[in-house]
Amino acid sequence: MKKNLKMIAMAGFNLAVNTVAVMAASSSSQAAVSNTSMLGNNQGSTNTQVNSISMASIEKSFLEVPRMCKDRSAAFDPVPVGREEVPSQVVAIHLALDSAQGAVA
Amino acid sequence: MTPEDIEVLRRTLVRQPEIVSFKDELKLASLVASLGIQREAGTLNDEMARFVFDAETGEIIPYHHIRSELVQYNGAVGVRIWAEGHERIDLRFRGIQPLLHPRFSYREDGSIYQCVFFPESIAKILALQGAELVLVREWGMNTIFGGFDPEKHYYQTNFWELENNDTLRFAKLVESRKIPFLEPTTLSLISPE
Repeated sequence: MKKNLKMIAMAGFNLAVNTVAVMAASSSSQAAVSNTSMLGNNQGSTNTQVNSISMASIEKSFLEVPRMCKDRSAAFDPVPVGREEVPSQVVAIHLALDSAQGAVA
Repeated sequence: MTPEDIEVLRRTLVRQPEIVSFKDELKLASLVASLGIQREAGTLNDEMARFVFDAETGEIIPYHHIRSELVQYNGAVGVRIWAEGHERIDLRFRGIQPLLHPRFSYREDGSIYQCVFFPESIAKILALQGAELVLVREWGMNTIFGGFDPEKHYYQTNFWELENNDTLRFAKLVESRKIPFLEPTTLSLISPE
């Protein structure tokens, strides 16, 4: 169940970041819209522009998902790694089991 | 474990909160995680299998050669995974070697002959990185205690994940540095290096 879930999660993260960025951009634009509206500018046309920018950005984010999934999948391809170095703190955690009190080996 | 033992474990897990931290329920969480890994190893659902190669031939080891069993050492529950007919194994997955118990996994010449994991040690290793190992109760109930069938592929559970919006749950957990322990490859999200 897990690999796909991880890939989707990672893609979801990136998408969320993009979406948040779009929302932030929209908020700024809408704030600008409010200000310009107070000055008597054409709010309707500016809103249309904001909406089209948001939709385009969101659509672009969605279109990125397959590539992100593919990249994530490639990151999970088997690769020869040789002998990995194990930090001393990690070794100590493993070896602490040797002296743990408790049950039978 | 007998079916009765597993039923007791299921009843204990169902009484736990939605997210079960290894920090709070070390023994329970370790046993559930070990059981989950042990049951998936060597089946269609074994996602670690595609990283397990024969160190002598360089060929991937067929998943049906992979065996597993629960182990206990000085009170810690874990899982032992080995490949029948393969003396030396090559794990082609970066970040997994530090999670193996060195005494039980390596020969003196440095080769790996089996993989022995103790989830409680893995929880401590992740804590070094400021991450917390957790179980998601419903995932355990759905997979380990949900009539797990080693002959069925995980696509069946993927629909369950979609229906339950588990991608969002997974993302929120990782965002808060909580790592749901599903299998060793999950830990690639935060390796101890």
